[in-house]
Amino acid sequence: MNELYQKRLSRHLRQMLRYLRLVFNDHFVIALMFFVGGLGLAYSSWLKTVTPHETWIVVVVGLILWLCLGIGRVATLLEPADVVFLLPREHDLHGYLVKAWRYSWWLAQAVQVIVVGLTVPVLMLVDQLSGASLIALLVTQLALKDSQLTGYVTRLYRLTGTQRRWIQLSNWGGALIILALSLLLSPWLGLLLAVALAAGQRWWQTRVWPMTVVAWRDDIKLEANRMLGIYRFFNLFTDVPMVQGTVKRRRYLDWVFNWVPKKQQHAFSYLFARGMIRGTEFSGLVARLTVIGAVLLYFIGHGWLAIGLDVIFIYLIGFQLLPFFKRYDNIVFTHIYPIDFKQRLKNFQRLLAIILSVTGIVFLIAFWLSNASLVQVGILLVINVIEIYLLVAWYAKLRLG
Amino acid sequence: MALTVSHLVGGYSQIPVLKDISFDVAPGELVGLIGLNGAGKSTTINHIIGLLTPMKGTITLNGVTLASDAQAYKQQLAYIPETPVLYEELTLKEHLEMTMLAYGLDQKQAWERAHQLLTIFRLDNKLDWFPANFSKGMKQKVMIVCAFITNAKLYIIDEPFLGLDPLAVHDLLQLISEVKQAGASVLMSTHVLDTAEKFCDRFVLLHAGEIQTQGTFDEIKTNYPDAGDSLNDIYLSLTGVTRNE
Repeated sequence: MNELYQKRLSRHLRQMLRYLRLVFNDHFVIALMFFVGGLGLAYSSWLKTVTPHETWIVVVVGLILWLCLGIGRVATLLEPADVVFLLPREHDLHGYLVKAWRYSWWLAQAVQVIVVGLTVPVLMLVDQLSGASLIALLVTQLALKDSQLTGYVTRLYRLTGTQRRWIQLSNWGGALIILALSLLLSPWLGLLLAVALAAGQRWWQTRVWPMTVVAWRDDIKLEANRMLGIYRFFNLFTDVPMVQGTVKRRRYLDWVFNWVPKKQQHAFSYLFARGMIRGTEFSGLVARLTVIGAVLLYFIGHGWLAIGLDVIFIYLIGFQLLPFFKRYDNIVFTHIYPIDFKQRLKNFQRLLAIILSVTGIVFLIAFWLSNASLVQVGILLVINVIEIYLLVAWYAKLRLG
Repeated sequence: MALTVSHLVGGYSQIPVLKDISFDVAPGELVGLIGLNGAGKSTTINHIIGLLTPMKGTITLNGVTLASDAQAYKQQLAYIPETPVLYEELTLKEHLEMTMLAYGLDQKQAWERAHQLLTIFRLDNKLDWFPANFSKGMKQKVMIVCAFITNAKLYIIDEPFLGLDPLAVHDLLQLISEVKQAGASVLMSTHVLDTAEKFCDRFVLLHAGEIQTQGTFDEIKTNYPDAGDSLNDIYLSLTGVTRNE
């Protein structure tokens, strides 16, 4: 069983590494640098405005720390076939789960360290925390996460509803109280309680698991959901075969389709418009990148940096929409309809132009709201028009034609 | 002749699956394409609908080939695939509308026809559903409705009888005979031989990429006098021949 987890973990890591390589491609690294830089800039300039009297900030920081405890789950790496093949060795599964817990612990705690690290400047400014108490706070946060992960493993066993609720309540409710005490009263008291909570969760787990059985079905579903979340993230950047976007009816958007002319030469516009709006995959991508881009543009000010960011985001969206053209290639009717390829491509280019224009307008508004002068907005408008034209008329044709 | 396939050599890769195939389908005629799994039925169909390009030979549909005028060729053709394929994001109503747009049909007339067909196949109350979630038989009915609103000159139907309920099979045969009377040609591949024997005007028996025999049922029976009385028997005896080879 121990070997099994190791084997699965190395396979899992190899797969994640492969996807990470695809995610951190050149475009993304550039965008990420802008993103982190923009956020860092905004954060540091905000810090300058903070004064020690604003105690509400401490409450917000506490809430952020509390919510961030939710980041990181246990990678059990259980598979659907395990119900059949591992069932006879159910008792040994605990060793397997402990391994899973240990691997996930390091990953989750790294995230918690970063989270606490990010809040340190605020806490030093507002709460006047000293070095030792900051370390106490860090250890508190780690202990709380430890307790959460232990609870996660305990919940992989079949428990009564009351037991489950108790795990969740003691972890989340306890964490809230402990963080409040740490930040508002004494970090040392919080530390003491957090360690007690983590130890309590562990002790309770050793008492509980030998008395019950593994909740196979739920665990496998849970793991599948966890993986789906990861794949969804990767799917933002690259094609992940495991993620097939779902279809939502979105009746409230039906009015959009009235703008698509009902003519033979626009038959594929009819399909593309509906596929784009109802499929979650590409519409989600456009929506996310547009919102992120607009928020960044708003915060980053109105210099060259903003213009560069705008250009990169429009390119990223346009570039990632290109595969949508091939989405219907495996449906035989796409080739059988008496409409030639050029017409289909034209329909797609039209859709691409419309989507990018909407994004461009949103970006322009965000740019304008960040106090840019009308001249600058005008410059950006011209840049956007040229970029969208190049992407749609030249690049899309080059790549798809 | 509506559809003429002459000396067709073709397949998916460099190695030809079809070796010199020639047959035709006349207007108002239902031709059954019969053969074992892997005999080349689907490959033939894929060539006719234009998914594959012939290595040698020509496929002509009322005087036009895919190469000479793809649009005019495709305009005359309706296809019902063996496994239903649907656009996941379109409702039943939108599948029909998409078909009407793609073939440039008159919306009013086409909808009249569509409502008729939908009622026959008991789909008229599901217009706002996503057919991607339908059962296989119901999906197949959607394919049938989409194909039969097109006023095509040639209908290509790939194994229509498996998965349809008996009532739907009956209605489909009725539809086929209607379009035949209107002068359309139908090419149908199938394994359900007793139905084929009853309804097809002529047969093309494919075997290992070649045409074993073709003609009306009586002609085939004369060619293979010892093979038996029904198409089923003839078909089985031809299979037997291959086993002995």
